[in-house]
Amino acid sequence: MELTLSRVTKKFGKKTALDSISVTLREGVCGILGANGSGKSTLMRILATVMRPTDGSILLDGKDIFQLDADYRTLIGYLPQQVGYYRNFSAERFLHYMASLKGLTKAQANKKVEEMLQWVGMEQHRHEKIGKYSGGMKQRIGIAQALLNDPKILIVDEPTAGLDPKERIRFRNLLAATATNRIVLLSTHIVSDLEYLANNIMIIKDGHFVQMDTPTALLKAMNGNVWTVATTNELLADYQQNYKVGNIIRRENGIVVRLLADEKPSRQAVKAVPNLEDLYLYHFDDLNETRPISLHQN
Amino acid sequence: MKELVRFELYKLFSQKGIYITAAILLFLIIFFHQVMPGPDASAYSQYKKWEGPVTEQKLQEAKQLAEQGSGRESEVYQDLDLVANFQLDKANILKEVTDKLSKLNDLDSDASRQLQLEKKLLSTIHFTDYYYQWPVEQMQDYINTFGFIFLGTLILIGLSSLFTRETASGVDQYILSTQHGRKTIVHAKLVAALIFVLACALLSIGFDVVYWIIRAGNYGWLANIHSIPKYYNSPYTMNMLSFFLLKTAVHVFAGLMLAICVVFISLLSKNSFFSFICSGFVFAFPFMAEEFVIVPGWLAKVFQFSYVTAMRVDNWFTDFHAVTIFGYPLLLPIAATIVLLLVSALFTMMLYKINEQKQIKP
Repeated sequence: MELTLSRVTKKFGKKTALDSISVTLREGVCGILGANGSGKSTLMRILATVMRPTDGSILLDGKDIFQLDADYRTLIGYLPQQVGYYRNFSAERFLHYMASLKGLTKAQANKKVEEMLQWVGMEQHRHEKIGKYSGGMKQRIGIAQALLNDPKILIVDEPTAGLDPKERIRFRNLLAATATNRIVLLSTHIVSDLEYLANNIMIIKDGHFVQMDTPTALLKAMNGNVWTVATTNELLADYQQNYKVGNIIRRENGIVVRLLADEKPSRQAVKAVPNLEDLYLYHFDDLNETRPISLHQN
Repeated sequence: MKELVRFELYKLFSQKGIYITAAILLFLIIFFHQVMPGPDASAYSQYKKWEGPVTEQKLQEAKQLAEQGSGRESEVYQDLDLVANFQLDKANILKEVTDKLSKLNDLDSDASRQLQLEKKLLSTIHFTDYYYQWPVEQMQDYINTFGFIFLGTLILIGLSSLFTRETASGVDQYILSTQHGRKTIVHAKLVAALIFVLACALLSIGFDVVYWIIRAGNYGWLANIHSIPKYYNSPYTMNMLSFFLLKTAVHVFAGLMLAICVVFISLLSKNSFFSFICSGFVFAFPFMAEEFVIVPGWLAKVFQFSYVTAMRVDNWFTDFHAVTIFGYPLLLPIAATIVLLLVSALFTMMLYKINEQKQIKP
């Protein structure tokens, strides 16, 4: 199964939210990494068919998803960024409602709803009104509804935003368990989510496609660009002004700064193994954008 | 599909607003009914003996009693006299129509065809019997006075948020991305809306019938509609039972058509308040305009096809009104029904089309 995006563009008036995105998505988890407002949600909405592109096309195994219409929607599960619910519905009722929207028969719905409630650990709260749920509980119901129809394409938009660390880990585990044999699109600006889940990472910036590769390949390209430097309070400001600075760790004998640089930034600097936070910093640290560095290409 | 309709009905009927509104309206209706004077159920015994064909003997007897007594006897005499005079009045009207027809040179003209139709209808009227009809008169009058307000208000409150609720709650994103979230959902919502209207109409009419039967008795179904002053000039002949059933059917039909319009407005609206205001305008404007300002003739004619006029029913049946379409006269109730059906069919088609293309706002 292959989703091929070809020059997908979305404009809102004069603003271009997505600018000619072309990419092919295959089975596995594809993390879409981008800052707020980069166009991630717009792309997810278009893939979920709740929004139409201004230009370009999206083909599923060669067929236009908007032509496929209901046949395509049968294959997808979508968890939007802002989860919406009827406050007076219980989790069980809401899932049954979604099951009927997804075309499940009553018998299938009964089985699937039961299964999903257990899977997301909500069976104890099934009769409670959703209006009384915490953010994490709502999110769990959100992912449960997205998976009711056993979708071949799962689209989850910022699923861990607003969750506490415990809920986030739980959610990541839920998602990891479902990722086999389907295309999972996960948009986030929380890099740790991708570290655990993504087979591929697509980077979008200001509506433009930047690159897509495996996390290993993306990080390999940053080898030799990430440094840690032991420094003092007085010199910290200089580093912040001249480099893209990541973590700043305060220790008893001074400060250790993690930063990005093409060349060794100082004699004390030590090469560090790049991680996804460094990748994010490289692409989305707008405060220091005046000093770009070049990554090694494979 | 059945499951979706069930969920849509659940969403509709779990709105507290409809119950509060219904309770307030019923309270007001009972209040206004209670303050209205009128005979109770026991009064029938005094009218019973006068029921049936109006004869010269009955008329003379009633006249004598009216001269001796007062109040009820006088009322009976007036009613009997109205029946007795009707044939004379009908003959005069028929003559008038015939005269008009004879003055027209072209018998194939629109005016001629309308007059021929009126003549045909008038000649079928048969009104010779008297029946005590006060309870049933009140029942059918309810539709024109309170019933349309009750049903219209509940339609506005219940249905103006049918689609906007999904947008406001954010559930539209889920719905639109599902297999049945584009077409079947519209179908389910429409079916649910129509069931809602039927339930509200049943409550309204049921309440009306039960109230008047308890208060004034179950009398008058066989009376001719011409015994009610409002319908004295009506070209239609039927008894109160037939007319009540017809009036209820037209009232409910108009309610269903209004519901489709309100659902359509709801789909186009950004929020429930805007949807409610727009729907309220469509429903109430013709009524308000005719009640409070002098509307130009052409607008009054347009208002004959409005939802509120259809829901009140009376204006369609009190006098002869016909519309000429392609050279042939159509009675107003038929023409207006066709217009409302066509408009509703258009709204329904657009509902499907728009929801199919609908995108969520960024």
